[in-house]
Amino acid sequence: MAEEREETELNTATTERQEPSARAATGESAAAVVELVGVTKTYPGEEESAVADVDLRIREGEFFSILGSSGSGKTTTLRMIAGFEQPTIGRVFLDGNDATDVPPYRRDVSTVFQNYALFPHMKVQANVAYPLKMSGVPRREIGPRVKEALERVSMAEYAKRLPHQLSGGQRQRVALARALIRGPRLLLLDEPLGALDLKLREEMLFVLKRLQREVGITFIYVTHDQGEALAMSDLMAVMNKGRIEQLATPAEIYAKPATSFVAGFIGKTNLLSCRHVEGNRAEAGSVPLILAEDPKQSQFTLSVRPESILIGTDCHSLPNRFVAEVSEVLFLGHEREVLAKIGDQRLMVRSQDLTVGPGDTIEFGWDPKEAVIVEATGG
Amino acid sequence: MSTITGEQAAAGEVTSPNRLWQSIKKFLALSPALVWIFVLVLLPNIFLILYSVWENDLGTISQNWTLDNYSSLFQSEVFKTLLKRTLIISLVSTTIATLIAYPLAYVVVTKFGRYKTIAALLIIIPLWVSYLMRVFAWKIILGEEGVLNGMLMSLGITDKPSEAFLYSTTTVIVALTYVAIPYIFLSTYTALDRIPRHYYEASSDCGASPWGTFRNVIWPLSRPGVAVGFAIGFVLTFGDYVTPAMVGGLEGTMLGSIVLQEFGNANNWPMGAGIGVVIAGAGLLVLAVVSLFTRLDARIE
Ligand SMILES: Nc1ncnc2c1ncn2[C@@H]1O[C@H](COP(=O)(O)OP(=O)(O)O)[C@@H](O)[C@H]1O
Ligand SMILES: [Mg+2]
Repeated sequence: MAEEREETELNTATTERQEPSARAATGESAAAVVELVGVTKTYPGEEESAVADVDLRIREGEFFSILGSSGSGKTTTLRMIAGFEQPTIGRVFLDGNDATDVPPYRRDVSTVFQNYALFPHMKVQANVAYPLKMSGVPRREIGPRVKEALERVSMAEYAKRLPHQLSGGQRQRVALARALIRGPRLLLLDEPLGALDLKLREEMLFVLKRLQREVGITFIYVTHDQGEALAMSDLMAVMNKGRIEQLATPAEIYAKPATSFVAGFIGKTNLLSCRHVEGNRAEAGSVPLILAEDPKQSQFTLSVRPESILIGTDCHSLPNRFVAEVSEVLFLGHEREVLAKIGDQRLMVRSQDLTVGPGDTIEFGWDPKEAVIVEATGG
Repeated sequence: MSTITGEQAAAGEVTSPNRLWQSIKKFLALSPALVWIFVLVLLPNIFLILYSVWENDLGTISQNWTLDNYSSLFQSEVFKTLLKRTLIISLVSTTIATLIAYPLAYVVVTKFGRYKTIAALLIIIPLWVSYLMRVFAWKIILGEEGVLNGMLMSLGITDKPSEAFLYSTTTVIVALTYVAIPYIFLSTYTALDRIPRHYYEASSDCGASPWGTFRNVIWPLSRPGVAVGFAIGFVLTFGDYVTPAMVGGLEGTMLGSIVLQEFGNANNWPMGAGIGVVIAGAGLLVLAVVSLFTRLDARIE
C-alpha cells in the first residue's frame, strides 16, 4: 500500500516538474519567484567554480530545499539569490525580472543567516523593527507589528534584551522574526538549525514548517542534513561540487535517485556496477540480476535500498533471489544491519532476525521494480 | 589556582577565609603590573602636582604649600590666551584629522578586500618616519624657499615668496592634523575591521541602503574606536611643543612651549608644573567627555 502511494506521488511530481520547464520554453515565467538561468560562480583567484551551470525555478509558496555536503556550493547559490554575490555567468530572475545587478537592499528577499547576524548593539525589538524602519514604515505602525512578529515566534517577553543575552535557539527565533516582518516574497535560510542541539532542532523544524504554512512565503532552505530536507520540502535540489545532481520531490529523490551520488547521499543504499547481458538481464560482477526494464546503456549502476531487500520466506516469489553468506552484523536496536556476500558482491540488508551471525547463510531478494538504474557520477 | 577552583566546586560553596586568600593571591599576581603603573604613571604625576603647589623662591623650590602658582597663572592674560589658543588648535586639528582618518579607514576596510592590510600599512607608514623629519618636511613645503611658494611663483600667482604659509596658527593646525591622522586611523581602522562582513549584509538584506547601513549599524559599532582615536589625537596635539616651535612662530605658540620655558630659561619649576597639571587636566576632561561615547552595550561575535 505504501508503495502505491509513493507511486502516485511520484507521478504527480513528474508532471509538476515538467510544467515549469515547458512554460519556460514558451517564454512565460509568471509564477516563478526565483529563477536561475545557467548560473556559474567562480570566485576570484579560484580555479574551480563554486557553482556550475545551475538552472533553478522556484514557484510561489513552495518550500524548496537545497541539500548538499559542505562545500557543494549551497551558500554561494543562496548568496547570489540574495544579491551578496554576482554570478560569473548567467542571470538571476526574481518575480520574472532580471535582478542579476540589483543590490540586496532593493530585492524583496530576506535571509536568515547561518550565524543569525543580529545587530549586537540593538535590543531584540530594535532588531526586528529594523527592516520596517529602513523601508519607511510610519513609527506608530512599527510597534504593534514588532510585537506581533515576536509573538509569532514566542519571543515577546525578550523584546528588551540584547542579542548576547539570548540563547542560540532564541537568537534563531529573533532572526526569523526579523526576516519575516516585512512580509518578503522569499525567505532564504542558510543551515538555520546548524548551531542548535538535536531537541531544539526538531522543535524549530516544526516552527519553521508552521510559519511557512501560516505566512505562505516561498522558502529556500539550505541544509546538509538529508533528514531535514526530506521532511520539510515540497521540492528539493541535491547539489554536488557546484552542480545540481537532481531536482525533484523528496519522495521521488528517495525512490528514484537520478545519480549514484544522490542514491548514496540520501539514505543508505547498495550500489552495484552492472553489465547488460540481454533483454532485462544483467550481471553485477559474476552475479546475474533481473531488471524491471531493459537498460539503455551496456554499463550502468544499480541502486538497491536495504529496506527493499526482503529476507527469508518473503523473497521466495521474487525473480532476484540469492543465498548469501553473512560476513558482518551491526546491531541497530530495532533491527540488524547485515553485510552479505554473493559471489564477488557485497550487499547490505536489514534483518529483524536477531539470531543472524557472521558465517550464517541467509536467503534474500528484491523486486526488480525496487531497484533503480542511476547515472554514474563523475568523481 | 585551578586546584582551588576544583576544590570549591567540590565543596559546593566558598568559605570566606578561602575567598580572602583568593583575593590576596589575585592581588599578588597583579602586583608587578601595579608596581609598573605606580612608578611610570602615578609617581611622575604626583611629583608634578607636588611641584605645582610648592613655592618658587628665585629659581629654587621651597617646600611651602601654596596655590599662588595657579592664581597667578589664571590672572595672566598670556596664559589665558595661550590656553584658549591651544585648546582651539588642538580640537580643530584633531577634529579635522578624525574627519579625514575615519572615512579613510572606512574605505580601506570596506573596499580594499584582501589588500586592506597593505593599504592600512601605507597610510600608517608616516608614523615610522621620525617626528622631527616630518616637521621639517612641512618647513620644506611651506617655507619661504619652499615647494608651495616655488609653485605659486612659477605659476605667476605671486611674484615674491610669502612668509604667510609658515609661522601661523593655520600652519600649526595643518602640521598637527598630519601628526594625529595615523593614530586616529589606526584606532578607527581596528574598530571597523572588527565588524564582521555579515552585519553589512544583514543590514542590506533588511533593506538598508549603504548610507542607512553606515548610520544605523557601522557608525554605532565603530564609534568607541573613533572616540578613543579622537582622545589620543587630542592628548597628542594638546601637549605638543615641537611643532609650534618649528612652524608656529609667535602666532602659533602653544602651552607646551611655555612649559618648556618655565622649566628651562625662566627656571620656575613650580609654574611649569602648574601648567603641566592644567594640560593633564584638560586631557583628562576630554577623555571623560569622550568616554561617554565609548560605551557600547554590545558584544561583536
Ligand atoms: N568568498 C570565497 N572565496 C573563495 N572561495 C569561496 C568563497 N566562498 C566559498 N568558496 C568556495 O566555494 C565552494 C562552495 O562553497 P559554499 O557555497 O560555501 O558551499 P556550502 O555552503 O555548500 O558549504 C567551496 O569550495 C568554498 O571553498
Ligand atoms: Mg554553507
